[in-house]
Amino acid sequence: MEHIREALLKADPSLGAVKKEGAARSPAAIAPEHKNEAASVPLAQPAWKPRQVELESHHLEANRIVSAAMDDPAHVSFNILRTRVQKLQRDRNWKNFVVTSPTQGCGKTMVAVNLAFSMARNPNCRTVLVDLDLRKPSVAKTLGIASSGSIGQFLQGEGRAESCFVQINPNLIVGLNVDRTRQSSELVQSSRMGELLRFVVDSFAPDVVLYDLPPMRSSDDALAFLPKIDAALLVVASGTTTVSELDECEHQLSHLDKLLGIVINKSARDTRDYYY
Amino acid sequence: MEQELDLRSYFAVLRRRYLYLVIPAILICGSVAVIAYLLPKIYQASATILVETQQIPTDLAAPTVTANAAERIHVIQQRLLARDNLLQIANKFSLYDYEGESRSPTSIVENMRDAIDIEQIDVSSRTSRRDGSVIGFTVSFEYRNPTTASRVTNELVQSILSQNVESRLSRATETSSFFRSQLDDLRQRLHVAEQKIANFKRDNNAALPETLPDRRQQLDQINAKIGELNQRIQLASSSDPALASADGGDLQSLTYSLQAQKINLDAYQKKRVAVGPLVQKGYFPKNQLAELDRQIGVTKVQIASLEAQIASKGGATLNGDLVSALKSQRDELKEQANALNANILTTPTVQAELSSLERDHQSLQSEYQQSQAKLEDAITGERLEQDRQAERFEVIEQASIPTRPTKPNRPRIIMAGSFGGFAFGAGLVVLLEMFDNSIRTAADLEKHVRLKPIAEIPYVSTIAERRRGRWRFALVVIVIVGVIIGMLTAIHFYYMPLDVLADRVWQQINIWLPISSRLIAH
Repeated sequence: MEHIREALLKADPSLGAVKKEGAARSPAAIAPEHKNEAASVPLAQPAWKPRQVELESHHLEANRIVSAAMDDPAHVSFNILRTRVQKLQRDRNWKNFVVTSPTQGCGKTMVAVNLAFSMARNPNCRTVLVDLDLRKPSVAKTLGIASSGSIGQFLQGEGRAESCFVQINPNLIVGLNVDRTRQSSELVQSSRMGELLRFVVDSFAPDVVLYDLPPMRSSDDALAFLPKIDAALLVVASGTTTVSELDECEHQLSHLDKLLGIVINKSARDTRDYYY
Repeated sequence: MEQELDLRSYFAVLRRRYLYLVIPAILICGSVAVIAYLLPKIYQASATILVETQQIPTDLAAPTVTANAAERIHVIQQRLLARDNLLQIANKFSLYDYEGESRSPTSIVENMRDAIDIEQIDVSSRTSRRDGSVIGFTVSFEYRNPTTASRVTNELVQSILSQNVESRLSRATETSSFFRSQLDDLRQRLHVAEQKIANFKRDNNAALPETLPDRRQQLDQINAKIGELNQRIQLASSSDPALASADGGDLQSLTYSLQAQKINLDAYQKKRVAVGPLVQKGYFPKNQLAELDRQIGVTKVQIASLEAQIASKGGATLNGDLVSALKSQRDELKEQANALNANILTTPTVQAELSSLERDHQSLQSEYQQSQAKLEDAITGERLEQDRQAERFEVIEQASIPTRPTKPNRPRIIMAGSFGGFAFGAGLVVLLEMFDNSIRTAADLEKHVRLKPIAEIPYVSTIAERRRGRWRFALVVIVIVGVIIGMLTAIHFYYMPLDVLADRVWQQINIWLPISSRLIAH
């Protein structure tokens, strides 16, 4: 047994911490394998700690968040997505990503949350997910969390940035939004936005920041925000997104040279392919 | 690979859109079935009429009506379908009078025209193609009431038969009467022509060509006589009485016989005188004396007649008289000769006119004869029709009361309806697919933007959704099973008991099976 463990330690030094700190730090609601991974990364640097929340497993299941429980075979496809994104991220030293889609209903929030969970499972990847959909925020609803603050309010100059963030597990922090505002596009371009971005980097030292943006065709928020980030994932719903919509969005993203890739969601492909 | 992919994509389409296929199919099929059951039952009664050809060979007795049966059936059909006729029949049987709803005559007529069907039975396909003869036809009528349907059909048949007979008879009669009137006309014209010839002959009596030789002979004789007369005139004017007259010989002999008679009388009278004393003495028989007296008397009479004759001849009188008489005689003869000459000259003209008249007459006569022959044929034809020995229609099957409705053909309507429903559904699916230009698979994406997706995430279904899906599946199965049970029940109670149906189906299958397996089956 011992030599195997040593070999594993060589490969990934963080595993060594599992034994020491695992039991003490893990949030109760997370599945056991999460605890082991999450526990390895210390979160002690910032002076304050985001509020820790517990997630209900049915709620996640009902909102199709499969990457947390990993019961549904579909989580494998999120792992594939994560791995590909991380490869690009490492190769080009990217950090800030947005998730958007041509129209609403493509499942971009669901993809973003699942991807965040999947990424956060990697101990070396401290992940922050920020809900920047200022028109129809849905991350909080998807996760089933009542927020104490809201990014929308922060951008409007009310409240503090700290109150918007919650910690789901040691490696995953989520910035929530509950407000529906009309001037979302101005807020995205406001100076408070810069503050928010700086705050995220400063206070969490994240490896990856995922921003959930509104659909590209419903507002110009995404376009306005794109220059501030490194790359964008475009979520396309199979059977809903038309060729012309896809074409338009792809063109805009490619023009700004921010297109990371296109994700086809709700594909009719048989999920049994993933049982292995 | 390509094909498998195609099949898969079709299957995916079907899975995605099956409701568009199934719902219209069920709706259309159901509504068609309801309509099929709500449609009124219509019964068709039909009768068969045979066209019997003429029994007597047509070479021996030609029929007057020569139009072929098909054509005549058409003509009769047109007459039968005439508005007045149809309305009369509709009135008689009070057709199309459902639930007191009044209908316009036009709609009645249209309905009846649709309901009446006259179909010819011909043998062209089997035997000789050239005549394509019609051996019969069927007449049918469709109606909601089977009894009425059969009665109307029989009425139609009667009407057809009587119309056929009527038309044939009238045609034959017309033909014969036509020839009759033509004959009358010709006869009249013949008469006129004959009259004309007679009149002409009478008018040109003297110059008729047939008397020409006679007249020539006569002329010759007259000319000869004139010549003789001329001679006698010459003689008479030369003062020799013997020569003067052509009759000189005659007169001379008369004179001689007069002298002879006078001598005889003398002799008789001398003998009488001589005999007289003897008679008184009785030497001479008295009867001889009477004889002698009689001879004297006769002789005296003869002398007197001869003298009279000579006197009448006058020849003995004066030569001048004789010449003038002869001249006048000659002049008369000359006149006659002139007249004859004139007649002989006009004869050719008369002949030409006469022959033209005769030609007219002849042609009229031949025409008359031809017409007479035709009339005889026509009369034969008429008799054929009257005796019903020409081609005729014979009903070989009267319309009986139909027991089963012919319309609506429910199974067929329902089959058509379900087919139509599925076709509609399939069309709808195809249309939706055509208008659907959304991205579905990685392949679509690659095709349109030439980018491979970074990931393809399957549809993530929640437990609740899966449960709902299972419920829906169970419901669909229950509904399908229920529908099948319902259909079987309906067939069992309304169409045919299932065991009977199964038996029939088995029999049908048996027919199609090869013989060997049929034996095994038995």
